[in-house]
Amino acid sequence: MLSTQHRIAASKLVKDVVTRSSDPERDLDLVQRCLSADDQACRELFRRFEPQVRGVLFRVLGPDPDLEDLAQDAMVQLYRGFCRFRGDSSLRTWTDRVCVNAALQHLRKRSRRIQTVPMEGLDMPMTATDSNAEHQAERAALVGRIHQVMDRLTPDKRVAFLMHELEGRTAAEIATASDTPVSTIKSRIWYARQELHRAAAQDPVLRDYLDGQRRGGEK
Amino acid sequence: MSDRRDCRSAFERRLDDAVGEEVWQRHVAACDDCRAQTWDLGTLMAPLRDAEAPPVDGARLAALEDRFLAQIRQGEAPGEPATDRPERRRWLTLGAIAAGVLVLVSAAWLARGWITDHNAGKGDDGIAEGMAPPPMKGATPQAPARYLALGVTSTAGRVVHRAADGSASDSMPAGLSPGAELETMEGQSAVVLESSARDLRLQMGPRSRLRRLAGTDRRLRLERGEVMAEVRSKIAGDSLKIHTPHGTVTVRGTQFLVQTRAARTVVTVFRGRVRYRSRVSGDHLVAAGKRLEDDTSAVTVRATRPPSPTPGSDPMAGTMGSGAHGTGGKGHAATCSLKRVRRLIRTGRARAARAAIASCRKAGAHATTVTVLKMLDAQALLALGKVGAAVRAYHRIARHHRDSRLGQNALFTAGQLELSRLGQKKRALATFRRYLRTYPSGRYASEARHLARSLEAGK
Repeated sequence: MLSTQHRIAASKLVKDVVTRSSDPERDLDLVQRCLSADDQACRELFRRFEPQVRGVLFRVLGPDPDLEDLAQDAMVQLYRGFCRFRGDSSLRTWTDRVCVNAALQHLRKRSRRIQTVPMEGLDMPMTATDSNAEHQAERAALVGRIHQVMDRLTPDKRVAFLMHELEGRTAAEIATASDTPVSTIKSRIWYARQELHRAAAQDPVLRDYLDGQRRGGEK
Repeated sequence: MSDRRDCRSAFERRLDDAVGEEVWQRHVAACDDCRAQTWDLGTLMAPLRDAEAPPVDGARLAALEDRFLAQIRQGEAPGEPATDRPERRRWLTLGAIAAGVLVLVSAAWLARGWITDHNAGKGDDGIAEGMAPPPMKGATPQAPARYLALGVTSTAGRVVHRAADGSASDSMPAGLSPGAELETMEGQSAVVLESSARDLRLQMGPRSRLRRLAGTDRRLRLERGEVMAEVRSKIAGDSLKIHTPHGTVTVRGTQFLVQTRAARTVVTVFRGRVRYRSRVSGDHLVAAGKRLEDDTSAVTVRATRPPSPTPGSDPMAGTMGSGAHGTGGKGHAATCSLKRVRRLIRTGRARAARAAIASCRKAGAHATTVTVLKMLDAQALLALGKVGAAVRAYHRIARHHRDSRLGQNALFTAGQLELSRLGQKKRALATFRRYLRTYPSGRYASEARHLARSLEAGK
């Protein structure tokens, strides 16, 4: 039985492979086959891109009870958008576009609905025998807290900032994915940094965490 | 310490390229604020970077995969999770109502374009003469690229899709792949297809059968019925070709209708030119406003009836969905020009602008135009120095158009004017608070929040 850590490491590896293995010809072929209603191709599409889509949405939205549904909806959108796919960009860019739109839409809806974020953290399967359980719980709480602070950013700023910081996308890539000028994306990332830094400095938990890390670094 | 503008420009340079990254690193080394901020944010992002989405076990993943397949096969909306969400239900209900209205409007439009006109100008073999082209979406032409599919953008009535392997189904695929065929039925059945670059649009009428041939999306065969084609940009060596049992139509221009029955093929050109290669009499060039008839024994070309649009003019002029914005409706387009009103305001002739606005309103302009006119009237008042009246006008717009972007703009502008031009801090604060209550994540939310905070701090 694999431990949680092993599972995480394995899924990271898969993610990296999927991200790196962006072969335009293979993508094009997959799209063609999906469009001709080939079930095998649709299954391949799901297996290749669902983990990627779910991962991006998780990192941008944080722990969210609707994550699975959102990823599913995004996959359907990805498929439905194929008739507009021209093959002059990679499927990764196409997936980013779908993820960015899904995240923005959900964040806007969430900001209208409620102003709280679940603090249970990650919905990881943890057992009493897991030696890292306590550490993981702390980590999950921290992640939840950071996302809670990030809820103060507007959806546009949050998505631009996180796509850049966590997914490593360039401003130009984010601009393409969100149909926004590059200068606007740059501006959003800049302001998101300022606002997030200010908000983190005001939050007692994050302030303590940063102080602790700083002290640890000095030692 | 560096100026914040330097910090921002160095940071934005970083987002450009590798050289920018070096510029940013040099800046960070010299700027204490940026160094601290970068370290803090990097430390905060580390746990997020490591966090992984909750793993999904194999059985659940297989179930999700099946659900995905079912959704795309049926072309239905993604499944509703089994949770109690009244708000979501409400939006879904509204969406369903809107979709219903849309379907009704589309049906009426199709009936108008394909049946009424069709019947009005029918020849003895049932082929329409001088049929008005259907309205097109105002999509901007994009650079042509590789074509993968003809996407099905809308359907009406019963439509049968036959895959290349001959299997037939009533459910619509996302696109028409090579070898596949679409067949529309009697009545109001129709399909609109659009190329991936949106520079080719085809609309099939009722009782038509269209097959996509191998290769690009520009090789089609119309077995029966009629198809209206609009080509927005030409691609060298890859012109649209529609084969019929009697000949081949090759696009040389932009908008034309092909109708084919057992006895003959009719090509009506509304804009541009097409080349028709008849099986019996070779090539014919058909210009805009002409109608070609091929009855297998002879080919005749004559002017369309009723007069079709002249070359270069907009064939959609006067049809539903065109010219609604920017000009007044009900035949008053000439008397109401938003462009003119804007120019008058810009050049300081605010009184003339107001007079023009009043005449537009009297003329009974289109609803959208009226809303824009209200904004322009407020601008004209402002230009006349009547700030109080302008603010009142903006508030009125905000009240009446609460759910539109215009209302949002108007409310924020009213707050700004109250603060900067009237010096009414209390009112401005109330306006900004109202803005934030109404549009918590609106386009000016951060500015409104900032201004409201500054005003609160200044109390």
